[in-house]
Amino acid sequence: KQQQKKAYQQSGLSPDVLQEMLEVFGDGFDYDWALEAELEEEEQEENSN
Amino acid sequence: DETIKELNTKKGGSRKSKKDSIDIDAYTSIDSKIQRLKDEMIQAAKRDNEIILAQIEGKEFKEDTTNKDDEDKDFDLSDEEKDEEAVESEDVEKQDVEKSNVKTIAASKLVLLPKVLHILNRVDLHESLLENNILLAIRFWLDPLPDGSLPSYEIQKNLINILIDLNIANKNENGSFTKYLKESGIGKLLIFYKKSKRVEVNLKRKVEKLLSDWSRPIIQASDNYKH
Repeated sequence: KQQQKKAYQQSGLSPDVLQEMLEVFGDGFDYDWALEAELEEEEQEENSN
Repeated sequence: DETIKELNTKKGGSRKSKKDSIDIDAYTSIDSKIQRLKDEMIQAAKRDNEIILAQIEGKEFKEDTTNKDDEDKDFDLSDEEKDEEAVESEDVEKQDVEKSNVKTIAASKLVLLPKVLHILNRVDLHESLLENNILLAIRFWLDPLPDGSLPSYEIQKNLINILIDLNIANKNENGSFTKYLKESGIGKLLIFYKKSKRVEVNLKRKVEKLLSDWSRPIIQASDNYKH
């Protein structure tokens, strides 16, 4: 999350715009549970091959 | 002739009544029609999620016992049941088919999809659809299922095309379009679609286009204030 914040800060956007972007698009981690499930399945497939 | 007629109308009737349940012309105001559609969409999404959840829990529970159950059946059957089983060996086949089709049962959304598309494709309704937060229902439909899998490709493709057709960023009177995006959480979901490796390449391009179309006005708005 820190990385994401840094990336946002480095984008040179004003704090208001940053806030708006965060509210609309989230911090990028909202669906991590699903991405983790994806990774797990991938690993399982790799192991079985 | 009368009975045949009756049967036909009954058949047609049940089909019709199903249609009527989301036939938006059957409701008084456009808003209540849309609310009704939204409710049906969210209910269908929840049903599909529950089925997948039950599968996840059922799998862990059943996996070891499936074979045992089959063996037990052979020993425990009374004569009567055995006879039945001999006559109705078809049933066993059916059961096997059902077992192999477990995945396809979570299809509430797919069943509803044609009707949903019929309404969401009506450009004359787009404004009202947005005002009634239809994006929330669309988000529910595009959300990953409890096992982390994506909804069917048909659903992804059609709803993402509708998101494009809704032309949300241009419906920006009073800067209201970000309100629609915030209330629905659809922006967060599309960030996930952008990250996911399971989204088909062409769809992913459309998602990325949507994301930049939606973020551009937010960033430009601040530029305009500066100048």
